[in-house]
Amino acid sequence: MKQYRHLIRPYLIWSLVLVVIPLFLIVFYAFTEEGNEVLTFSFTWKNFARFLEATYLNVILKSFWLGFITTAICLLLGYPLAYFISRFSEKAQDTLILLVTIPMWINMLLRTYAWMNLLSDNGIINQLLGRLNLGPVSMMYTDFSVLVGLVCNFMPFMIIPIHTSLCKMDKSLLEAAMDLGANRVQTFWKVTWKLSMPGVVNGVMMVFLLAVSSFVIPKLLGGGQYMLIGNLIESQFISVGDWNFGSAISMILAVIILISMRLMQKMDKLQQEE
Amino acid sequence: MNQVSLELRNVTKRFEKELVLDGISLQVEKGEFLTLLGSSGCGKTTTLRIIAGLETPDQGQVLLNGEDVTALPPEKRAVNTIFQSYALFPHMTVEENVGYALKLRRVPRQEIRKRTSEMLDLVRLSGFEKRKPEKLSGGQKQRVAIARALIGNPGVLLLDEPLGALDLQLRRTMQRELKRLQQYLGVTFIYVTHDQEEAINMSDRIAVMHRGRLEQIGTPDEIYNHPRTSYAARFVGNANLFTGMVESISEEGAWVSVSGGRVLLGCPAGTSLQKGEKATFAVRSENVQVLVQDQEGCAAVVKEKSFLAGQLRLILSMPDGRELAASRFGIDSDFEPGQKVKWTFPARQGVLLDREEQNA
Repeated sequence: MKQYRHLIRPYLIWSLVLVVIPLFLIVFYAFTEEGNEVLTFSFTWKNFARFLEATYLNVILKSFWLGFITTAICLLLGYPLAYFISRFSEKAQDTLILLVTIPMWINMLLRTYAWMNLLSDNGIINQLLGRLNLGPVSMMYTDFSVLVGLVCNFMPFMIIPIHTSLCKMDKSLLEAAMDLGANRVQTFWKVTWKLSMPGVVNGVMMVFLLAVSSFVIPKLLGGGQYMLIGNLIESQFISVGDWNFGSAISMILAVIILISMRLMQKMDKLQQEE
Repeated sequence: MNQVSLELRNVTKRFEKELVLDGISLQVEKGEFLTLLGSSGCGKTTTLRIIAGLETPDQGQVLLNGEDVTALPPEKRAVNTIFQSYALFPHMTVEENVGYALKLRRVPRQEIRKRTSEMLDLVRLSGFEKRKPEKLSGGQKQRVAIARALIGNPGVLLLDEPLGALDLQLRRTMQRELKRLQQYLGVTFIYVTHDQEEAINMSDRIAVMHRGRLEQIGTPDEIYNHPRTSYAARFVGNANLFTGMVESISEEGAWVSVSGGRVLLGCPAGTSLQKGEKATFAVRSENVQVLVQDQEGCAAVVKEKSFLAGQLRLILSMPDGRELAASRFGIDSDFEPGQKVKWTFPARQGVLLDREEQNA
């Protein structure tokens, strides 16, 4: 293996140019004044101070709230699904997991446009409701439409890690629990759930991360005035042109996400030791 | 007979279309050590799982202490299992694993702790309370599994090849350990293994299983010395098997023709052996006497000679090309490969097999 090690170099250069340097640039922009040159920059906390304004705090709260709800719904729907998939024969499981992942082969934008079509005021769902005289229900550009989009897009990221951890579990552990006197409910909570925690933690972290920082789905399904932290960053860079403020928000988001991920891992460890 | 602890009545089980258990009936006394012995796929593990309640029989009944438990789920049966893979809960410590059955029964915490430490003491694992299973050796995991299964005072303990994953040395130690525990606690043990030595060493009775049927059930001594079927004879102790025509019946027994000559079989009373009939019989290698060429016996040629565990073992080749094994203690150079010899055996050491009247 050792003689192939030099093959990794192009990738190192690649990630240095496209990941590490941009990260430094973001930090650099976040702490500097607008409009200065790289060589004549002046240091400032202004960009971070600006974030403490109520408008922006609300945006971040709303983002985290939506991320939290999305994650909770994905977990509530995804866990039972992963559980049932794991009880089929191995061959059937492959097919079912394929079905779960197939939507991911289609471009996310296309999927989101499809949801726009389904949910819009004269979309398919409202046409059906109209036939049943339940009247058109306005679904587009609400929390509901954004949640539907987020949940449907990120569901596989919840199902797959949970399914993996359920599959890895030794089935004789369940038999042992029943043999020792645990009923089905006790067996589930004391053995299955506990042992699938690594998968749950992975799924929760992935979905939460994706949901909090998403900006295309909220933009399309939530409308132009629907402002989440991802949209805020995007608008600072694309339309407002305030790269310094945009960088500061990115940094804040990254730090908050890192902290919450650490907390999740800590909680997982505590639960394991319980 | 003492109090019956476990009874199976005509238990039958199919997987898909394959008949896995074909009418198994047996009774196990309280405090008895019964081994289900057979090669893989003979249905022994399925039998165990049916007793545990992890499988449901298609027909037949399982009775525990005279009570029909066929329809009860595993958690309601006073039976515990030691699984082949131990199935220790990886997220619990040794202490939590062992105390789990009591915790489920809502036994007070103080008492759980007390009984857990007693149990760990009994399996000689004190001081390991706070360890996680991943930090234990194979033998220690085994001991935890034993303690966990025994803590709830089950009426019957089921053991599914519990020593299969251990090395030979450790297996011997654990055999003695299990036997000691079983005698000390007076629990009925149903032990599944494919290892005939293990079965003979530990069991009060052995049930030889083959293709979903009970071939023979009896004490180790009965199974070894008086096998009833050719399968039992071959599986336990690798007996030499012969099939030959009955030439004549006399008071001493029956003369049966085999390749290279004829032998005298002592027939137990009540055997309905007829002249002209085909008879199958077994002779243990230690009962085969190898003689020099000019003595009376059946002709054969020495094919191989080996020395193993204090025994000299000769493989003889009969005129029809089949082989038979002869063994005895000590070593000598009376016989060498290629030498023409005669062989015979004491009449009563030949055991008739596969007779209808014996199976009744």
